Amino acid sequence: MSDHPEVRGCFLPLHLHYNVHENTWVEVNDDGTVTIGMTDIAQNLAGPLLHAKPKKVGAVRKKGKPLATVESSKWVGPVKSPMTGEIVAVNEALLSDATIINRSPYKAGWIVKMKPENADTELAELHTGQAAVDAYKTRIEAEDIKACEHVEGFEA
Amino acid sequence: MIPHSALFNKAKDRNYVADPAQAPTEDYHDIVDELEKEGEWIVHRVPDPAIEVKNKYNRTKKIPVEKTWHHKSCGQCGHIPGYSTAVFWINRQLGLDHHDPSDQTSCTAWNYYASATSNAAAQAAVAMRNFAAAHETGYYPIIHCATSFGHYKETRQQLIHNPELRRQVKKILEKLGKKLIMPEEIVHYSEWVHAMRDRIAERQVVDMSGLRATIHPACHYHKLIGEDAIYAPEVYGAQRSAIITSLLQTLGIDVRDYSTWYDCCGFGFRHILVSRDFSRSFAVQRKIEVMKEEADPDILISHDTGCVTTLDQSQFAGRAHDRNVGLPVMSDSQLAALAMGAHPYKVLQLHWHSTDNKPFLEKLGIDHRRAWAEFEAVTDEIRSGKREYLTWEDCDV
Amino acid sequence: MSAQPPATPGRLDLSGRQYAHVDYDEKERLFEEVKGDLRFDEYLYGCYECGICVASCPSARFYDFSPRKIAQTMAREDVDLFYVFLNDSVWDCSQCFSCDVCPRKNSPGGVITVMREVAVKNGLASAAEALEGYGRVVYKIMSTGTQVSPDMLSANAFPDWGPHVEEIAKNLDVWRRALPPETMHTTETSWQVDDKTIIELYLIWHMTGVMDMIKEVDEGLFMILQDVMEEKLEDAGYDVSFD
Repeated sequence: MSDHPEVRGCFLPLHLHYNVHENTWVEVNDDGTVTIGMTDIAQNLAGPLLHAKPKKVGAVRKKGKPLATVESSKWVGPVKSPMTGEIVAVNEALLSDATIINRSPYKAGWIVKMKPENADTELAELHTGQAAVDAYKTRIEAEDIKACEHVEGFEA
Repeated sequence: MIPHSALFNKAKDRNYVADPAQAPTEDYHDIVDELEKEGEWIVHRVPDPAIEVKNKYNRTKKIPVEKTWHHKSCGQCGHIPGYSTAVFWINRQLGLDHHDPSDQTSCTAWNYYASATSNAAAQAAVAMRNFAAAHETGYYPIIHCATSFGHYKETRQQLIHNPELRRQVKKILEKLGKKLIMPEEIVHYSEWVHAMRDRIAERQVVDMSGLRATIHPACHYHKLIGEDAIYAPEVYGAQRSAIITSLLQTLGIDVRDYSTWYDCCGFGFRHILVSRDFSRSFAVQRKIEVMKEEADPDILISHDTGCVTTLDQSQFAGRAHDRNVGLPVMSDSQLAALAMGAHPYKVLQLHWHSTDNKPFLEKLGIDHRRAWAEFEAVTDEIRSGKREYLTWEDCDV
Repeated sequence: MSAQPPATPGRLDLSGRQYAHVDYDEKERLFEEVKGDLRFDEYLYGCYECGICVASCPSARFYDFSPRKIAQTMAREDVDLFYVFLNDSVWDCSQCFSCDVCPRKNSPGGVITVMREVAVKNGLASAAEALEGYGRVVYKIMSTGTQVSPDMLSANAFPDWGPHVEEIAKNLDVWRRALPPETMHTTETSWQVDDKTIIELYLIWHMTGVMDMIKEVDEGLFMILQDVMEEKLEDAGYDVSFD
């Protein structure tokens, strides 16, 4: 579990890159694409998800624009893209079961894969490793974000 | 000067009849017609046959009998669907031509009253779009939710008095390929139930003479543009709106008074979601407990989405505070349908309600266990794929 | 309404000290915006300050709230006090319009409706805070045409309504099919709304500036609405942007 440190019960895998403010993560793939998803904190704040609707393959999204709309019974909001690029793959499984994101936000609950346009500059803007954990610690304490609860079968 | 003898007149000896000529408000009928003559809009006339009733200052209001376009309610259709189902079912049993449109949006009044993420022009445009859609079908709009009804009355008032607003809305509708249509009357379905109560009672098969009931009138029905609400001398001496009570009395039910009759139910709009202690405190302490204490009713009947929802759903939390709750709630449409022999689960859809209504059904001699088994037989067939839906034919009596 | 007691939790602080840092000009601008609304003249003719509205008001029984004080403040044109109510009080109103019992035929509830809209239009933090937790309902009505939906019934959202909510959620799909009206076999909307109808609704939001109001008070919500609407409008052949 040392690759998955946690703050207030919220897991933050060290190998991922985070947009701490928007609660999204980026995984750099060998083929140059990136995989993007929501963090454990984000899934906890939203609660059990009812719907997760990603944009279509081929859509070009600027950094900061919605990649998907997620909806729980009391909340709806965008998953804002941490990078600029073209969507090359979408996690179809989410269309029939959005709770995959609650159960496995960093693995099975990935949302889109993207071909990034400005990988180097935009990745440098994100936090990774221990720096990410520290940045999150600061944010969680400052905003008094509630501790993460996990559903049965959760995997970090 | 009040003569001494007047002190000895009993209330029932006083026969107050409002004189429309002395009414403190304008008559919207006149202005609506005037604006049609000026070419501002087309008036969608109430089709014949129509039943004439009176509103607060004894002015005549026309209620359509059939060829109605049903402006549905979000909260009813979404959360207590037996409410709207009962309205359609009654129409069907009475053989009345009616239309359930998919070319209908919510009145969006929640957006306006709860979150203020709208404005007068948007609301008026939404209302007029719906009325234009009704006019295109040739069916006359009848409104299911009391908030929609109250809001549309407000919108009518704003459109009557603001030429700039009319102009703006007309332009918007033109872009949508629609004309500006103002209905001759804005009709709430409970007004239709009131007007049709004798025809409903003709088909009554369930004896309700042993029932005690309290009623709750929606604020948006009788307080918002209050002069356009139905009053009748034989009901409360025309001192309170006649809706709901008139139906219940016609069905032989003992309608009982309570001291907080005029109070709001506590729905509050955004409160029911984000400030819930207000809603449930008010519903339980100002309404339910008072009713139980003073009237000891078997059933509480209301005629609005928010009211039925709040009064019903608030009672569960009340139990945690050891309050005097446990009064089942339903709409006048559901009660009327039940009186006519409608199935408590296939038509009234009582399984969507919160407060236990089984003792109420038992008191009427309705075998709810058998009824539930009949309903489950249908849902089992849906689950197994043997059938797709429950149909109207399954519900006819 | 002269000397105010010190601020107490749960009590409305009418001293105005909490907004002493706000420019008077800014408060006055918002005041004029409320007064200039087309509905205002029919909502406030002048206040008798009699308090009959308070007697009928449900919110007055629960919150430290008074429709009289708000109507009175607007009638007296007390800009500083108006600003306090605009931020700290208007969202307690339950919009029941029991206050339309007013003998002067004012509508304090109506005045409050306008005040709330001005608060939203101007992106006041108090408005954004009041609307937290309400986002999904706004999203639902703006994008689908019905205000709520069957799939909003879950124990997670309504634990205080009773165990039947969990039953409903478990059986939702089947129970919706077990409804006779053909338009009601839906779970994501209250009834089936035609595509053409939704397009008309989007165009109304666009033409009346409602999307601009939402942008001020909830940027995330605005973004997803903009996405949904622009896409659907484009598919239908309309060239409409909400930016």
